[in-house]
Amino acid sequence: MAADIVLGQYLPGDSLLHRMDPRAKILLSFWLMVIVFTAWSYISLTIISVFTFIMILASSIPIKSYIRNTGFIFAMTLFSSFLNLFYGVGEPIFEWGFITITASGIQNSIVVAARIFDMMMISACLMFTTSANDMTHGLEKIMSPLKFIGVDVDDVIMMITISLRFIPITLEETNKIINAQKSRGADMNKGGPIDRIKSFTPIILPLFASTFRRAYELSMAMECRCYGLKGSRTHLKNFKLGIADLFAMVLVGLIMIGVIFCNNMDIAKII
Amino acid sequence: MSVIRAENLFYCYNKGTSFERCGVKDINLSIEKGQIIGVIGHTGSGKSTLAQLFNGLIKPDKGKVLLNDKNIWEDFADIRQVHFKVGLTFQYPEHQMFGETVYKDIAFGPINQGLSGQEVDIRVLEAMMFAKLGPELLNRSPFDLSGGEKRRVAIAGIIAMKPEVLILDEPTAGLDPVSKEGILNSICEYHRQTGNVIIFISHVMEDIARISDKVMVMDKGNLIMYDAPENIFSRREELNKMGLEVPQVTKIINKVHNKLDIKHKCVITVDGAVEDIIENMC
Repeated sequence: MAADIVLGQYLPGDSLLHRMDPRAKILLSFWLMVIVFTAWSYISLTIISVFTFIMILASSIPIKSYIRNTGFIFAMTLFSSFLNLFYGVGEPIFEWGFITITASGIQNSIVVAARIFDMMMISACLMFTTSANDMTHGLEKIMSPLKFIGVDVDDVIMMITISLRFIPITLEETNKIINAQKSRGADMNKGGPIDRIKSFTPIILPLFASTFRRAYELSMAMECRCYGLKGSRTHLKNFKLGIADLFAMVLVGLIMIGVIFCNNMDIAKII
Repeated sequence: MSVIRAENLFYCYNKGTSFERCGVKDINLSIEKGQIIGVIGHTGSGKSTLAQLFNGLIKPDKGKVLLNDKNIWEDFADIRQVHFKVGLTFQYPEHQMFGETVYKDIAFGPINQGLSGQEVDIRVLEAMMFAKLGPELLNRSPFDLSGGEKRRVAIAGIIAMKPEVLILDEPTAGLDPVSKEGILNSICEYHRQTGNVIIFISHVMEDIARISDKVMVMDKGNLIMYDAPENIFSRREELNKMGLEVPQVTKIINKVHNKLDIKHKCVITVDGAVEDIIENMC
């Protein structure tokens, strides 16, 4: 079970997106998501969807991976856009009992679906093409101005890294403990709700104990390597903005202008 | 009559993904009543997977596990009974303890078996006796005990279920020599008194040589050898190729035999070595 959950879904490769500066990638992805939310009209949505699709192609990662890793959220998207179908205002197109579907309802559901879908794909693109190391390093660089207002960026980044790293370890540990208690006859699917909650004690308690033990060991190991000694840290890899990053920035800028322009130009405005 | 039998046993992890890896492949074996079976193999050779298959924690992809000639997966509802009949202690079992007192922790298995309060008391005391734990520990918190004592409590928790087959996955890993010796003695003592089958997984060849009647050698999910320990440890080169070794004492006696040009006989225990030296060299 633990192995099924792939965290840090980085898929190594050597595409244009893989080679981009993580800082630019993170910021541009974030900016693209903002643009997705400003897109109102069909034309704007089409522009940004086409761009997302080009991004997927540029990542040279099989579309299969995108579909597999976003299946659950995709189902949620369809569900929420289905709900939106019934909450339109205006002249009904279709009426049956208490169910009314209006033109604005249909438009709403399409917009919701397209927006969530685009956002999902953009973030998947970022996740797939950026390794966990690059991601945290990039975040660190982006957050570094916060140092001037007294935020300890290094520590925050270290916390993020450790907590991400601990998720699969804790999952594995949980499985081990569940198996051990099962082999002593623990039955977690029996009795009323109170019995069930009680039956989790043999799992939660050792899990807490082992998590604390691990945390102590880790902090000891970090201290042995002089963590906390403040000094200027260097990195093995230093980021440099390249032509690809510049190109991406210009492209995203153009997309933004296009989206805003088409939002106002569009005749069939939504809502 | 065989107590446990495996027929064409297959089990793979991460089925259907690119990470698919087979834990055990086509295992056929039969364990007779009253034997202690040692299991050796490199890390990731499928020892622990095999243990979990015997215990019914995981269901084989192909093949059967027969406990007393009955397929354990014949009836899904019975699988809990199999957990009780084939007791399994995991690696570092002390990490799975949760009871407020030693008593509560050991009693967890017997209570799940549905025994009455009095029977549970008897089982707990018996198990503690086997594990050489004094009754004064009954009301202590298991988290306050020493490493060796914790390990004993965890093993006692399995013994208390009175399993027909006891599987111990590296029961002595990470313990000091005295605790280790104590646990090995407890295992032997338990075996002498109950005559139950014990499956003993270990990386320490000396321990395997000392207590087992038969040894399984696993490599990459396959059962390579299944034979008496003397026969296994006389195949040193094959073992070395699988990342395994023979006991120190075997190496010493082999070298001495070679020097003195004595006919090769495989010696695997210290006692055996003493006899051999007296016989051949004095």
